[in-house]
Amino acid sequence: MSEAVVVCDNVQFAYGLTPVLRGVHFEVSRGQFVGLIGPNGCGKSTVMRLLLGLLEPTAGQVSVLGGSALAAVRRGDVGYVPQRETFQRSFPLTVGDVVLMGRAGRIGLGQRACRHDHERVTETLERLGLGGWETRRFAALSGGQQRLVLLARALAQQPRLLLMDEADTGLDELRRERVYRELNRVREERDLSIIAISHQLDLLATVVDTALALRDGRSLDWCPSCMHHAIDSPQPAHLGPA
Amino acid sequence: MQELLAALSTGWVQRALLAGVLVAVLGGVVGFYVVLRRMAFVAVGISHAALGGVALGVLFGQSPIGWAIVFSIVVALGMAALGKQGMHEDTAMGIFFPAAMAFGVVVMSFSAAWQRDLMSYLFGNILGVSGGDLYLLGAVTLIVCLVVGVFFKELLFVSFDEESAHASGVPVAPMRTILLVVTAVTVVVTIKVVGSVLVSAMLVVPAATMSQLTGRWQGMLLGSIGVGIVAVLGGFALSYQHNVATGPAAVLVATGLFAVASLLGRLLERQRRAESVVEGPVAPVTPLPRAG
Repeated sequence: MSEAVVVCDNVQFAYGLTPVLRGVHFEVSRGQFVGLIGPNGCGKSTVMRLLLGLLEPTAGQVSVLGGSALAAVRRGDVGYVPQRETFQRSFPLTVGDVVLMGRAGRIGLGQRACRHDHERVTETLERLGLGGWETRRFAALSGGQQRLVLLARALAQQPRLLLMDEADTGLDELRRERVYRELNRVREERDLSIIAISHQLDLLATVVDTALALRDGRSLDWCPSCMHHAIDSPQPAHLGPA
Repeated sequence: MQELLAALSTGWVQRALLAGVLVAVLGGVVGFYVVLRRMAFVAVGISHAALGGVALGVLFGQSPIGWAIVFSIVVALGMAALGKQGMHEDTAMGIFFPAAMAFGVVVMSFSAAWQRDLMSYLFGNILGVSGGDLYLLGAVTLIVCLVVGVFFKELLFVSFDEESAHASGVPVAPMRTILLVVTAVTVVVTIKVVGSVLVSAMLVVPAATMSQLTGRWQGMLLGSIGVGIVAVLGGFALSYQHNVATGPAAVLVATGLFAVASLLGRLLERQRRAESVVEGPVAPVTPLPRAG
């Protein structure tokens, strides 16, 4: 039995009086790639925020890498690619600056980046097909290109758990395919566990080990082939088994 | 011109110029973050909220600036506490700013000497900078530069994207508090030179000017300091030659530089776009061989 990297035990969460999660239960083991699917507003991003320690469950328990989510995040063990643009697009940064930010937790508070950190930045950019982009202005990139850079930032962190919240939005098909193949390669090399939210179910189904669907605030386990099947179903794609 | 050069050899002019340069350095370093984090209203609010501290200093017959520093730090910490509960900095400032200012006006009504101090507080007096003021300004500049230097990468990351900074293990709330306290202290010590009405301009305009010209943080940071120094020295020369107030003259020079930078910035952007069209699309992707 592989070591559990994430354990969500009957997790409930409400924004004020509005319940979003009514009993989410799942485990992610080391090196596992899990797809998190469900309709918009079903609480997928809330699960991510719980795993980042940005929110506290109203009931149930969340454990990340054997401790609290916040402790894992503070150690720099959790990489994250946000769904929405939480950053200012016009910020005066180069691609290299942005990717190096991912190393902040590893470098340490008040410490400076060393050659090793810069090497990780170069290596990660090359792996994602972005070699030579370090000096490009981040603000001058398209939305899809910026998301790729944010993914590079999360990978440069060398996390043990990677959380991707619709990280493939805005990428063309070829690049999306390359990204997922590279992610699979990285997870094999580093035993990286990945939880990915995506609406690209056809592609997601080909790369994940298992899928977890959220419906009515509860979690349902799906095998990737069922997920694939759901795309062709007359129901909305992510509503889960009838 | 010769008169100006002769004046430069006098002690009070040298103190004024040194104070101006220190304000430009402080304004450039802190203004870099104020502009990037879009905290201009916070800077304006703190400069007005400092009135409460000035009033207490006047009432107790002690250093108004010393009291204003303490008062502004309390306001900054209050804002940080509200921010921790999820309130935006602008909204928190909207609560503290009028309350602290109203407190200052009420307290000042108990003091007979308030009118003279109020004018100096509102519009500053760079020519009246004493040796003690200079030491205070120098010490604050040194401390602020040290703090920003040590936590530079964390402050930059938090300013860029708080949520991802948290995910990378950066302590976001303490960094936010550091920025607010540093901004508060900078605003208060700068009040002596340019006054509370104009202090936000010395923080915002130089950094905003450089943001028009460069896409690199290094250029924006160093350029902001440079623009601030040019504005202060230019303002001083204008003030000496035309017998106008120095603080407002410096702000006008800074605003003029911003106008020029805006025009240049548009030209640069147009040129960059033209070059990117010539270069073609970036990094085409070649499909990887399918596994299996």
